[in-house]
Amino acid sequence: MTRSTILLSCGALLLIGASPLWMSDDLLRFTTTLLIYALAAIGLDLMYGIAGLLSLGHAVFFGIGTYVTGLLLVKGDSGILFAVLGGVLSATIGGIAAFTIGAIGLLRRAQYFTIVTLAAVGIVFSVINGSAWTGGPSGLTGIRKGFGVNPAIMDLWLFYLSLILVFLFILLIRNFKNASHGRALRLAKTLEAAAHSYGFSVYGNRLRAVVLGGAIAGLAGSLFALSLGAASPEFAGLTQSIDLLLMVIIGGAGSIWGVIPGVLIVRGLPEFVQAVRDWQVLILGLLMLLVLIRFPLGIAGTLELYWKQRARLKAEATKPGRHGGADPDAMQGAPTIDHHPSGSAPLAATPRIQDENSPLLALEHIGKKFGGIQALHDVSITVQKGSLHALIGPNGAGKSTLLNCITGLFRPTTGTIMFNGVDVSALSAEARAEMGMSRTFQLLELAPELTITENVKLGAYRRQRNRFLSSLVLGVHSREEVELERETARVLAQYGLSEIARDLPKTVAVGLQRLSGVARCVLSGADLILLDEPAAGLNPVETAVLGKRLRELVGTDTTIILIEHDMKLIMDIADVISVLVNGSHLRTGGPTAIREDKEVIAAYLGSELED
Amino acid sequence: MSLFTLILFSGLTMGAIYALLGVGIVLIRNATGILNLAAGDCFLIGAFLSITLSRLHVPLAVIIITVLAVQAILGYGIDFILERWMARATLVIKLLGTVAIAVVLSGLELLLWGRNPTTMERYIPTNFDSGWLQSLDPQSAALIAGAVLVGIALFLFLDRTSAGRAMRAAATDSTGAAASGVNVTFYRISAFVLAGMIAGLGGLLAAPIILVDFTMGLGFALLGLIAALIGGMTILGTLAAGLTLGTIEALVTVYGSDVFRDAVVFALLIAYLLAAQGITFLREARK
Repeated sequence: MTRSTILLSCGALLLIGASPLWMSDDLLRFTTTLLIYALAAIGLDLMYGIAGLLSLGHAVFFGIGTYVTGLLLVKGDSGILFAVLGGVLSATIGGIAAFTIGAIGLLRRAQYFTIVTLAAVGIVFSVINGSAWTGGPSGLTGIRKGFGVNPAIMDLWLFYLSLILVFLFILLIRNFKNASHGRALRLAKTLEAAAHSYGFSVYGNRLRAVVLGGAIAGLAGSLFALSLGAASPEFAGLTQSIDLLLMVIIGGAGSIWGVIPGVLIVRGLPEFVQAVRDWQVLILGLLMLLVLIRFPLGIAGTLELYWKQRARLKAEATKPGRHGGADPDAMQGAPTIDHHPSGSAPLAATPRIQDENSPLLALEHIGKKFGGIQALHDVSITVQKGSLHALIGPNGAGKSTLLNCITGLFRPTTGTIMFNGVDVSALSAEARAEMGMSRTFQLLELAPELTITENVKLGAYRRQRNRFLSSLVLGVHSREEVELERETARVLAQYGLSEIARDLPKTVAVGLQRLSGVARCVLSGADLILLDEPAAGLNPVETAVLGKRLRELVGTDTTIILIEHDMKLIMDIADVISVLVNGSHLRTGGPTAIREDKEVIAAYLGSELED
Repeated sequence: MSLFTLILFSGLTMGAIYALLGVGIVLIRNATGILNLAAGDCFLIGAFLSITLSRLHVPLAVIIITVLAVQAILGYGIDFILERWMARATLVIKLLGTVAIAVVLSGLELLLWGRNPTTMERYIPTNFDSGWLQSLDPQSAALIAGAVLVGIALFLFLDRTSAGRAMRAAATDSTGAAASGVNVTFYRISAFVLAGMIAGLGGLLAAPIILVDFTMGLGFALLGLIAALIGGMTILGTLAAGLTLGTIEALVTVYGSDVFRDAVVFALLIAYLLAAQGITFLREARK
């Protein structure tokens, strides 16, 4: 942040904070309702912008909040104590409603959540609209009666309370978005399977996000009832839900603070510009379409992007000329990798097995059939702890299939897999990852919405100890996130990726994307790292850097299984090489032995070694 | 005529609207995976257009042709937005796109036809003259018959003609179909155009029966969607589900409570989703 932005935001805050001084009473009340809508929309942005769950029924939670508080104050007793109780109850019941909707809607794929939220609007609206105890279509009135507080004073309190809550929740949710759980939720938006493989419980955490979003909207509803003094069934209706959605989408989904420009356009515009009244629906619809088609980040996201680019251009202009490609420091291989920083590091490393004699991985008579095709046939290979074990063989030899059997993506038809002395043959991929396996994929699997840094950080998710709530409150400021930030920067520098750390994957060369996948494995702190053609798409210099890093990694007692076609790289860095041909294990031995083996040469190496 | 028959009849009338909307939703869902929430507003545009044209004393035949033509263009436009401009978006964002289109269309309706609910003059004036049919409204009967005929015709087209089979092939396996020479894009656009025309026909048939206003679109789309979901995304299933849904609504309104009509329908949807989820779960557990 530059000094001018800080000054600007301080000025804006002062202006808003002092608004009771310069606003008329009506304008102040209206501003309060805008803030309350913004608060409700923050809950929706958490669901949609971060967790990727499209709710067309967000007003349900908002409406429930207004009625819970309204009924409590009308049928129960009035007074500050009851108002506070109403707020707490509204948030709680909003959360419970969200839990019910989420528990059902998340059972199936994305669009079903939306349908369930739509159905929820139908149910809740018609119950509120049709029941006698809610006052029917005419709703509740007189919620503020008998408070014994000067209404002007109460408006002032509500204004400041709403203001504080909006800023508090913007800070909290933005914090959450960029820390462990928010990051993994954003990954799960597009790559649900990948999120599972990092040990992230997608259903549970989505449900938590939905409950939190519902509770925030319930709280907003409670404030709304207090501010307006009335409740009406429309507050829980479809139109209200769509309005909240418009605020989030136009303002900028996922940015959280976008709800402020959003609410100003959706609710402020028609209030201040009377002429647009009848045009309002059309204009908002067209704006939303425009955002979806042309500016998917909305107002706030597009602005953020613009600021980021401008800051980068400025930084590049001031920096002395520099050659592209890998970090020169890293290429000279200066600091050796400190794989498991000991001492006060709050990021716990996975405990390692002490028994040095047993092999880390033992494959015994592995066979895999796909229909009638025998992809693997009686493969028995032992991988020693702390070695770099290469798997080579012609295309279609079954290397990737074997890797998938080891990591649990495929179940072998025959044979057993012993990892750390435990039979893992029947365990899921998630469970094996939990035991200390981490892998890259031949096909790229970086989340498109996350920067390279964020993608790499996901590797450490399993080691992170923050819970959903602590990552909401502490977020990026928690010790482990700060530590992770430092560790990630170090690993990225070592792999020559610092230059692209803040880029999105799609703007980065394929080879560097693969390298990012390796960096992510490194950060996972796994005992066994399985790499599927990490050097594909790298230039010779980058390949050399990769080789050096992998050797250093093995030096820190990590075991690597490497599938690679670059023979020079393999011969340079591998401790042991296993050759697969037609799904069968042909030979295992050191690089020299393999290079000179007649059968291996005949089957595979011959021509390639001549190069 | 008994009260029960009357209720049944009025239920089937509303059910016919849901069925027509549902069938259009099924066409688009099967071609693209998108659940089209703009369907209800397409229906409303058809209804509003019919109302305006009939007030200008345009002959019925011309009204029908105009409405179908406008709706075909509307369907094409929706395809253009969702599948050209937003071609690379995820399904959820395309679903959001259909919501945006629904908002735009309802904004147009507000602008062109105002806030007040309105309706169309009946264009099938004669009552049936004999027997138990006497008290039935022929306008409603036309709507029900229209829905049934469209449903069956569409089913026969998709099931029995080579063009229909090509359309289904394009929907189930677009790459495979494209490889065997089927013009996938053409059939995808056809699905949108056809769905638009069906919604327009629904609007034309329903305009004299219901009061329409610009806020009703999403509600109708949702009921069509429920029919499509419960009908298992098949044409005949949706036809049956839509008609049943309307009947249940009418029965609940009269014998239960008017205000819980919607609640019952939506509870039905959730019960269905849970049951379907349970069946899938059991099926997977058995494997």
